[in-house]
Amino acid sequence: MEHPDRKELIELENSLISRFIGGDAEAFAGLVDIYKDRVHQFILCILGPDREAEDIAQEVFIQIYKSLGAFRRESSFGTWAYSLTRNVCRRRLRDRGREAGLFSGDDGESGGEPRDAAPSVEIKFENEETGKIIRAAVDGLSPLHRSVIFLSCWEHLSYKEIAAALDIPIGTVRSRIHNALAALSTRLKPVLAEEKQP
Amino acid sequence: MKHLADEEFTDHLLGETAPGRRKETAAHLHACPACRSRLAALRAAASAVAAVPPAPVSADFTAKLMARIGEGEKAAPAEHIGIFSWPAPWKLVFAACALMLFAAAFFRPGGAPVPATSRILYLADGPATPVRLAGLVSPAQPGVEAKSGGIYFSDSCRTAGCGL
Ligand SMILES: [Zn+2]
Repeated sequence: MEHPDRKELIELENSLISRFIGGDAEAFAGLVDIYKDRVHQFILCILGPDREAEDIAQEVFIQIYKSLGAFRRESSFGTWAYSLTRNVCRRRLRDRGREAGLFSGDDGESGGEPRDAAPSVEIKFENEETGKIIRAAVDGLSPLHRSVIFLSCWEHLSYKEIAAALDIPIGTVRSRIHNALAALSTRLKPVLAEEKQP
Repeated sequence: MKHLADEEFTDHLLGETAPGRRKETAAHLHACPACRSRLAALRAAASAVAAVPPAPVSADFTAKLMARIGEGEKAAPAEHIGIFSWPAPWKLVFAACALMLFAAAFFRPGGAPVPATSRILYLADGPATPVRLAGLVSPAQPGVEAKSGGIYFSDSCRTAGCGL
């Protein structure tokens, strides 16, 4: 099932890609504007808080610029772009000497609960702080859990697309989305209860 | 009563339940307050996360990026014999038209005879196969010679629809 917002987005990005391939460089800037924050967020999901996240995002878009002519549209642009982002992050980790797997520190194939690294959420919240609290709760998940949550809840990618973007089996995608949402649901219970109040 | 499996909750939430399981899942949720409550909690978490905008980049991100791309293009050395940098198709069309003008002038009636091999122009491009690019137009290929007047057009010329 395709998310309605996503259908419009795909139409827009397809038109921008066609214009770019047709020689309109401005169309590429349009694609960047659609994806810059999202690619940046995805980098933060993979790497965690990182001073170089924005620089890495620039590198991702330069890669996209160079490779877009060869993009075969066998997947959506988003899936392709996120897969490329993952590769750039992997390279960056390798350069930093962190050769271990991209999602090292995750719970592997055991299907266990996401590690709880989030600072304990105070019960007393100001409403305007809700966004920050939710973000902190997501930050507290492992890189793999953050990544599947980002690609499913934010980006509305299908299981198949998430599996392709992260290069992991669909079964892992399913179980990690559930585990991440269950953990978030527990952590955010006080916030969500407060938000429900009139 | 057998409750829904963990993954079945997210399948349902994200519209990924297999068609053959949809009726059964819906019926169970209708009948089971415990599973309904679990589903509601997961849905609330998913909605909360989706409502938070992604972490923004700096305001000058796109301008900086486009400047970097521009600099990169200027600095990048030509990787092949092509006259232009690739792959913008309008450049291909332009190249083909320039080539056509050149051909018209060079091969006009009465023009000096030139050995076929020295009249070959190459358009270095991606899609053309090495065999096509390496092929020389020679009297042994009369069809090609007659059609193109000694100029060997690449696949991209055709792709660009320049009419050549
Ligand atoms: Zn149940």
